[in-house]
Amino acid sequence: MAVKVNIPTMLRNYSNGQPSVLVEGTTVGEVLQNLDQSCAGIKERLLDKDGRVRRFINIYVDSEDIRLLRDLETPVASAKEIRIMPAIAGGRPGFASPCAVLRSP
Amino acid sequence: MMLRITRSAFEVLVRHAEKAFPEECCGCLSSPEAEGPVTTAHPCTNIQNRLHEEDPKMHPRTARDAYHLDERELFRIQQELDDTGRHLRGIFHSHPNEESYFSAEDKRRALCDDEPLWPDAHYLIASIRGGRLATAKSFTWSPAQKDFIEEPMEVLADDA
Repeated sequence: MAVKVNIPTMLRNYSNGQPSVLVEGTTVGEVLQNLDQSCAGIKERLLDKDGRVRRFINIYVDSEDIRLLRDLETPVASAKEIRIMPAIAGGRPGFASPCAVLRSP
Repeated sequence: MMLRITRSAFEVLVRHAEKAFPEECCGCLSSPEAEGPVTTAHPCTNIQNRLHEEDPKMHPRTARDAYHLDERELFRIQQELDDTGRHLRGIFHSHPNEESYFSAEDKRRALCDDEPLWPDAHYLIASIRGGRLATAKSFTWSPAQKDFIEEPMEVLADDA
């Protein structure tokens, strides 16, 4: 069974510019493994070396974050689409990190 | 790479940044074309204060020092853009009372294993001093330099 995987614009260099691809799989984990066949290299951006979803990557089945479902075991049989969204965050300079505070006398 | 953005989109993000002062603001940039000028700024909620309140050890910074774009809003924006055939082109945020440059924290949160989370994105950073725009600069990932570098930015008349 194939499910539609939406690729965010800024990761479409992995999908030859395609906004979405159809990928076979019964769970999110299987779909992400198979996604690498049509989007070579994207898996490494999404999963760490232990095969877990990277901390700053969010994956949604329809509109639900998979971390609130069954993570990579989330079934996709009834899903309309999977969406990949890297987190967006940052901060200004001049902040004393907790490590620096702990090291200070 | 070069960021070209319409005057109206630029003014939307500046207003958002000035209103958020002395905290950081954030949002997205989009356009009808994958290559053309950015025509829309999407102001988003900076949820950094909420993250800090929930887990100050994991998130020691507040919105005065950091931004974390609300992921539900990002999801909705991306979905709307996909549904209408438009493109998410970049990200903006502000540095209150600091210069507009790509900070170490900006870089740390934009990378994963030394590779960019959002390759090809324009990162517009607005310096806000005393509640008013001081400077705005745009940055993008350089695969050759393995770093975020400043890129030219042009604010266009809306009828250009």
